This record gives sequence, C-alpha cells and structure tokens, in this order.
Amino acid sequence: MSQLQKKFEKNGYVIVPGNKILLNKIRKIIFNNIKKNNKIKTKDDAEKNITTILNNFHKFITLKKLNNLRFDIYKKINAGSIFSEIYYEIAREYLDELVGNELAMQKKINLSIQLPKDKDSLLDLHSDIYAGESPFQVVVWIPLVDVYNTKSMFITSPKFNKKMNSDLLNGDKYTAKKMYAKNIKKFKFLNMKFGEILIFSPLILHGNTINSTRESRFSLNCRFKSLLSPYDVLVKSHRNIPNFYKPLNIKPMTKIGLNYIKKNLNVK
Amino acid sequence: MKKNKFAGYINLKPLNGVIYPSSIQNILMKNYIENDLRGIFYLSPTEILQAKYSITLKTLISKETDVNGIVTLSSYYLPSDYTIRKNLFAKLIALKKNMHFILDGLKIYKKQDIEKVEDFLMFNCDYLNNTKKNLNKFEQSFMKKFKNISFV
Ligand SMILES: [Fe+2]
Repeated sequence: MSQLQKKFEKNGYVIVPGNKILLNKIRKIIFNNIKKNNKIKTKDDAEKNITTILNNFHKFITLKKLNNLRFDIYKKINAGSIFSEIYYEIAREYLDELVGNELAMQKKINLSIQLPKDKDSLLDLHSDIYAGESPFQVVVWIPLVDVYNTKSMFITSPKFNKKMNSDLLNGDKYTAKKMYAKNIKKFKFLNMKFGEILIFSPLILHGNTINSTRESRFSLNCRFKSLLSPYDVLVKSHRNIPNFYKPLNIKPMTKIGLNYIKKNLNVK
Repeated sequence: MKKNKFAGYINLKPLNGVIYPSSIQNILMKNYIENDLRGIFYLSPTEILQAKYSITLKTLISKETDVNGIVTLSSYYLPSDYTIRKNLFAKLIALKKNMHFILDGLKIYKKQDIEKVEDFLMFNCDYLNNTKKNLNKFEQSFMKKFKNISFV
C-alpha cells in the first residue's frame, strides 16, 4: 500500500499538491467571471493580483449580491465540459490511487464564497452521507486562496468520528451546532495553500463556521466515486446516474459487459 | 432569425428512483429550451403510463407533430426495448428532428449521436440502480480482513 493510501485510511483525508498550471487555469476562469460581473477594472491578471482581489473580495461586493453572483458563476462553469475536465485532471493521479481510474463524477462542481462575518453561507457540521450520498465517494476540495483558521473548513478524525456520528444518528439530544460546540476540540481547521488540494471522505464529519478572519475564501468542491460501486446505499436517494453523477470514463470491458446484460434483457 | 420550436416530453416513471412531478419537468424543460436552445417551448404532453408502448413519444417524433426537436429530462425515459428505440431514432433522423436529454447532458442531431445515448443507457440497469442494503456472503467474508478500515 502506498503512503498516500495509508494516510487516507488513517486520517480520512489527504492534502496533496495539485498541478499549479491547471489550478491557475480554473482560478482564472472564476476570476474573469467575477471581474465581468462586478465590473472590477484591472488589467493586471498576474497571479499575485488575482490572489489579492479574491482575498479582499468583500470590499467589492455586498452580501446581498453575493448569492446571485455565486449562482451565476456556478452556472457558467458547469455549462460545457471544459471546467470539469480540468478539475478531474488536477486530482487524477491521487484519485487513481484512492478511488480508481474508472470513475463517476458529480455533474455539477460547487463554488463556495465565504466572506468575513457572513452568517448566511454556513454549513454546519455534517456528513454528506446524511444527504443520501454514497459512502464510496470522495470529495475533492480546492481552495482558490490560502486558507487557515475559520477561513477554512473544519474536519474531525476517524477516531472521534464514530462516536459523534452514532450520537447524531441515534440520539435526540443534539443539534448539529450543539454537537460541534460540545466537541470543538475534536475538530481542526485545515491549513492549506493555494496550489494544494484536499481529498476527503465525507463520511468524516466536517463543516464551517463564521469566517472571522479578514479575508474572503473561494473554494470549489466536487465528488468522485468508482463508476461501478453502489450509488444508493441503505436508502434510495437521487445521488445516482443521471440525477447527480455522470459516467466520467468508461473502460472497454465495462461497455462490453454492461451491453451484454442490456441486450440479453431485451431478448426476453 | 426564426426561432425553433421544441416539444417537451414528460414521463412520470421514476428516473432511477426519482419521480419528477410534471410541474418540475415543465420548469426544467422550459428553462432549457428558452435559455440553452433559444427556442420556443411549444407543448409538453405526458407519456401514457398504462400503455405498452411509448405512444406519446412516438407522436412527438412523427411528422404529425410540427416541431424541430424534442426535449426530455433523461434518456432513461426512452422505451427499454432496444428495437423500439432503434425505430424511434431512425424516424427522428429521417424527419431531421433533434432530441435533447437535459440531465444526461446528451443530444441527438445525427446518426452518430445515437451511440452515445445507447452507451449512457447501459447505466440504467438493476446492477447499478438497486439500493445496496447489505453485503452478500462473499462480500462479508472478503471484508473480514478490512474490518478496521472504517470511518463510522
Ligand atoms: Fe459536506
């Protein structure tokens, strides 16, 4: 087993370097959209300038307009396949090791923008499985600026996860907020530089709180799973093909095998 | 420029477990036709669930219905029988109509596009669509070795 695999099994996540050229490319796409949308006048597209504008984005927009902007960019990056192809390529070598090379990918890549003190963009402690997602999936989380403290997301470790998860699912005592407040020491905010990517199992409880730093956070997230692993687990949900996932790469033998099933069913 | 006319095709059978109410299907199709295709949303009849064949779809594809294309949520709404699908596609191409599957991100304009839709339909099988509720005997014994690798 590789070091990466060992680390992932132990911690439930890994932080690894992503391809910087591609990361710059997707960041530039987001940046150009923001520039157009907010009429930010800058001819300087140097990386340093992009970083500064993103980190200080709260000075360029009101909270009121934020969600419309976020949704507008979300629509743009998810129209067509280029953005999603680059996204996969950034994480591909790690996904090969952790999940496989024949994958299903979430149809829509999410964008989060968390301005300092914004109370409305919060995601309380949760496991994505609570929303019917497959335990076979990983989340690839890409910050577009350096993240630290409350500008980042928090996550716990497998060691603490079991009990908290079971308390949340089986007890009537807790709200997500209470569970977090009571166990705050068991969570840590991830420190990451732009250029690094996080791959984690969303079975591990995670979330965010009010960003009390003085910088805005931009991050992207998208889910991947092995193409042929189960989609609906324990309960039927909509986290499957075609409602939530799309087949990303289909190997010849999968086509041949599944077509064998399909055609033979039709013979009946 | 003259705008193209599109018919929506509503089907109320579950789409891998999810029944989309007609109102929701209409909203999704109207958005897609007006924003992505820049066309006119013309009509959106519902498939007859009790019928053995996909009569509504057949009507939309036929020359009786004067539209440039047909929009629907997914290729999973197509008839499950391969031969019936093949005939519908042949008619579609012959009448120079196109077809769009919103959630799948697929469309048919020419003969070669059909293969992509057929490839996609491979995933509409019990093996992938059934809810996994427990491990079978083989999986159970196989997993003994890994019982400590768990996050919950
Ligand atoms: Fe999550």
